[in-house]
Order: sequence, then structure tokens, then C-alpha cells
Amino acid sequence: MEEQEILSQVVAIFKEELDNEEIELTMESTAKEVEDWDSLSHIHLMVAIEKHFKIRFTSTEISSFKNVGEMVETVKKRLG
Amino acid sequence: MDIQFHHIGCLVEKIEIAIADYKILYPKNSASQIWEIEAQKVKVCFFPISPTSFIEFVEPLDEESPLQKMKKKGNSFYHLAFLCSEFDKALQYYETSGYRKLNEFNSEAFDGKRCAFIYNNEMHLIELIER
Repeated sequence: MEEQEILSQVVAIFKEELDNEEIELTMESTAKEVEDWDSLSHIHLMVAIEKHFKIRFTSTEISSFKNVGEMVETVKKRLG
Repeated sequence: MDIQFHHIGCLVEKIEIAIADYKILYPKNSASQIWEIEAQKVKVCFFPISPTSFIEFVEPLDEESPLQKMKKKGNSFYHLAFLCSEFDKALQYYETSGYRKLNEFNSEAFDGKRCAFIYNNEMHLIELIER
């Protein structure tokens, strides 16, 4: 799966989890730029992404993603 | 490795009001002192509801904290807390069993001992407190 396709699916997950249809993400987006993406919702988002793509992040990955792009790239690697 | 239920965490607007409210429910019981937990940016106190269990009233101090947002969404009771022997071993066991660690900090309310918030697979928030 290509990065843009993964990003598109990640955006849909963010909209669902944060209950906000207005969310727009780029590969450079960070938690500070997205309303309600805080330390508590972060875990919910990561688990929702894991379930959607049927992958598993490590705890280190979950706590160290600097932006959406790093997350998308990790998803891509897991999907092989 | 042994865990024992300690408290249920409850978000409140003002700790003093919550204490007064639960004093009506449990007239013979008294709340603990109030601690400020620097790492979590909250004030907390414990109100006994049985000989060994408590409600922890949690008053967020930071307007931007995730707990404020949670409270504004109408959530109040939001975590279960357990005293835990062999803290590191327990934490490792839960993480390898599918729980996700949110954070780890030292708590003024427990003599500076370590606490960790973890999520289970149902996304319930659990606090482990080093015994």
C-alpha cells in the first residue's frame, strides 16, 4: 500500500476517533496542530490504527512518533 | 507479583465540593489531605468508601490538560488504581500481555513512589502504584 493511501485511511480514523470531520492531516502534521490529539487520545488513535491495518506498534514507537509521516511510514513497513 | 485494588479515580470541578458531597453519603468518613501531583498537573485527595478502598477526587489544574477535555465531555469516573508489588515486573508483564503504557511518574500522594497509567485492550485506564 502506498503512503498516500495509508494517510487517507489514517485521516478517516482520526475523524472517527476524534469525532471531527474537519480534520486534515499531512505527513508533517503533529499532535500540537490537531485539536484534541492529546496524550490520552493518542493511545486510542494508535490502537484504532493498529486494528484497522491489523498491525502492532511497539510501545517505543507509540511514544516516539514525531509526526503523522513517521506513523504512516511505520504502517507501510509493517504491511510489507 | 501481587496487586490490590486501591481507588477509583474521579474527575471533579472542585475537590472541596466533591468532599462535601461524599461526606453527605458517608457522614462518618473523612477525606485525606489534598496533594498536588506536579507531573500530572492535578490536585488529588482520597475519600474512603470501604476499609481498604477509596475514591480519588482529581481536580485538573491545567486548562489545556487532556483531563479537562475528558471532563468537559462529561466523563467523571475514569480509572481504576491498584497497589502493586514488584512494580517493574508487573509493568513488563502487563505490557507484554497487550496493555499499553501511557506514562510513568512519581506521585506525591504515595510518598514519591512510582505510578504508571496503562490501557487494557478495552481501552480502560488502569493505574499501577508501587507498593
